[in-house]
Formats: sequence, structure tokens, C-alpha cells
Amino acid sequence: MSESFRASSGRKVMSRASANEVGSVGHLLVDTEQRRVAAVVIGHGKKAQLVDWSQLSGFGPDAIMVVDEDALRPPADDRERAATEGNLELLGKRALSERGNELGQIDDVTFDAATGALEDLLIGDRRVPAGTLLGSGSYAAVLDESQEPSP
Amino acid sequence: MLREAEWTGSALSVPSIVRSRHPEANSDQKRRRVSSRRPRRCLEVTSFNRARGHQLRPGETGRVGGMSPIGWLILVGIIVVVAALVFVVVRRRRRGGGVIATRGKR
Amino acid sequence: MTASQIRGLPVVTVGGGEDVAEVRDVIYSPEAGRLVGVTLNKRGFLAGRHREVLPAEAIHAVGQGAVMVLDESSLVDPQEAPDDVGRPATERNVIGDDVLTEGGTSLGKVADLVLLVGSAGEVVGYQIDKAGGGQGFIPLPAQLSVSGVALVVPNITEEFVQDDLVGLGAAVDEFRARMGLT
Repeated sequence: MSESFRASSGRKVMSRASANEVGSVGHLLVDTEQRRVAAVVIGHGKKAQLVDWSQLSGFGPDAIMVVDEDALRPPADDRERAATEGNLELLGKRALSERGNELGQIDDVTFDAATGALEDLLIGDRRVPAGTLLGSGSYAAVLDESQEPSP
Repeated sequence: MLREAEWTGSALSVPSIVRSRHPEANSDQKRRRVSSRRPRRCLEVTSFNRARGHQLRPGETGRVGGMSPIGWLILVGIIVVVAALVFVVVRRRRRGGGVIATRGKR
Repeated sequence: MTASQIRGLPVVTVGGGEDVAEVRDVIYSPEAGRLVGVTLNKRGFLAGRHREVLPAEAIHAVGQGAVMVLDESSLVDPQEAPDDVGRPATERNVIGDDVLTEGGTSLGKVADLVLLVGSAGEVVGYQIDKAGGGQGFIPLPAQLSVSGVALVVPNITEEFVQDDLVGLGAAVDEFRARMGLT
């Protein structure tokens, strides 16, 4: 089933083991090499915690189910810390082509709710396959040459 | 023995126990009433006043210490000038040489 | 695009999506007609000069939004870069140079350098503020010599002053043919 970053932002995160709410989706951290959702950032800023995708029993339309509360962990490195601060968030990120040209802003990202694999990027009114994503960071998401703006 | 009377601004309150137990209290009270007509020491603490023993006449207001409005203006002005200088210096350092030709034979 | 459009652009890594620096000076070779490298400033409003430089070989691409590099290792220490990039001759800034024909006529002043889009930094000509007023473009190789003060060009350049970039593209080939260079 297809999910979107925009639609799942703020959705509640529940523990399957205790049926307690552990927080809500703050950001989704993406592995740009594998082009999939790597972890869910719960909350924002200094107190935010991460849950690896492998620790989810399901990413559902009404709740994200975490195996149990122990799966929540603090950021482990600089990249994860940047993610909790929102610097790596793809929503609203500037999109640049590999040739250095502005493509617009990423309005939404769709992904497979079962596997976390990214499907498409929505930039303005264009739908771009996620396979064109070469890398992304705090400044921009870089898309390959096939995404050159038409002259 | 009389306890110290409390100053409460304009009113002078003598502990009531004094009045009832000590027959001399009346004459003492008179003495105090007289002395209350002398100029009071300003002991009120406000944001600018301090209990420095500055003598005020009844009805007089004033400030002891603190900075004048002109002083604040000058301080703000200095901060603005310094910030502008830092800004100009840093921006100039970033400007660079421009579009530079290599040192060819020609 | 022009050199002044490149100055100030962020330098962005393809894999990391990070703006690691921004372009300070553009250094080109008038003889080779090519971009040789750029010097850098740090990113940020009050940030200063960046010590490292970016030689042209390490540039992945130049677009209207950013100069792309593969990763941070593309930025090198000035000693490891060609001398003209590591120690640029800042007195040889051509902007504002008088454009003089070898016969002694001034065609105007250099306003900018024009580079070919999508090429490996190929320089096609100069944008000038014409002596009589208005903007013009002259093709490269236009200069016989260049300094921080003047650009000396062959007499025939006067016939090749174009009004716009479109005209410049066409003029470059003809100019080169006339100059005996193909």
C-alpha cells in the first residue's frame, strides 16, 4: 500500500507490546543509497527518539506500530541528530539536478508502507521516480540528469 | 518598657499592648507624635530608590541612581555602530577579486 | 551563463546534498578559453573566506542553482591546486577593463565573462558596456593581451560586437574562421 510523508506526518506511534502511545511521527529519516525509509523520528528536537524500520510491526493508515517501547532510542550519530532537528527532512527540501539546476521544492514523497521503499517524489506538479534520487542532505536533494528542467 | 514603634509610612502604630499596660504610655505617645512631624527618612524601596538616607520632604518624588534616557540612547547607538562595522568588514572580506585571468605569457 | 552569475553560487555535494562552500572568484585562462578554477567563501551570512579552492577538473557541473561536486574531497588545499587557482592574481581582475583594439579604439568596458552552458567551463566571450552606451558581446578568442586594466583585441573585433547572447553563439564560429583558427 502506498503511503506519503505528508499524510503520515504527526500520526500516532503505538507500542504493540503495551498498547500505549509512545509519540507521533516527527520526521522520516531516509537512506538515500537504498532509497528507503530507514527510521521514524518520534517527536522533534532534543528529546526526539528514533525507531528503526525493522522495529516496526506495521506502518498503518491510523497508527505506526512499534514492536515494543524498548525499540525507541536516542540519535546515535551526527546524521541522526541532524534528522531529529529536522535538517534532513525531505518535505519542503530544495531539489537540484546533478547538473546544478534548480528543479523546485519537494512537496511530498510516496513510499511502500510494507517495505519502506520510496516510490515517487512530488515536485510542483511533476511526479518523479525516487530512483532518480542521488543524495540528500541539509541543503538539497540531488536528482540525476534525467530530471533536467526543460529549456 | 516600650517596644519600638513601627514605621508604616504616614501612620505611626504603637503596639496596643503598650497603651494598656503602661500608664506612662500616654506621655510617650505624645513625644512620638511630635517627633513624627520631623522630616521622615525615605526608606521606601522602589526600582530606582535605595535606602541611602536621602532626605525627602513630604510630597517630593525623586530618583536615586540609574541611567538617564540620554545614556540609554548613546549605549544603543554605540551597539548599532559596532554591529554595522562588523557587518561591513566581514562582507568586504567575502567580496573577493572578481573574474581573474590567469598569468599567461601574454 | 556569465561568470558573475557563478560567483556566489553554493557548492553542493551530489551524494551528500550539503552546501560545503560558495563561489568567491572565478579564474579563467584567456588563451585556452576555459575556466581554470574557483576560490571559495564559507557559507553563512557573516562567514569568512574558505581556505580551500576548487580546480575546474574537480567540478562535476555548473548549473544556474549550484556548482556541483562529487564530495568534499573535491575541495583542495591551495598548494595542491594549480598556481593560478591556489594563488590567484587578484590584480588581473578583468571586470571594468577597457576593451581596446590594437588600433587604439575603445569598444567599451568589460562587464562580464560569458561561459557556455553545460560545457566543461568553456569561455565563449565577454559581455561589454559599449563605448557608445548599451550592452554588447564580443567573442573569444578576442584578446591579444589582457591585464587588470585593459583587454587588447584585434581590429576586426569591432565588426563582431553582438547585441545579445544568441548572436554571440553564431559570431564565435565566424570570428574564429576569420582569425584563422578553427
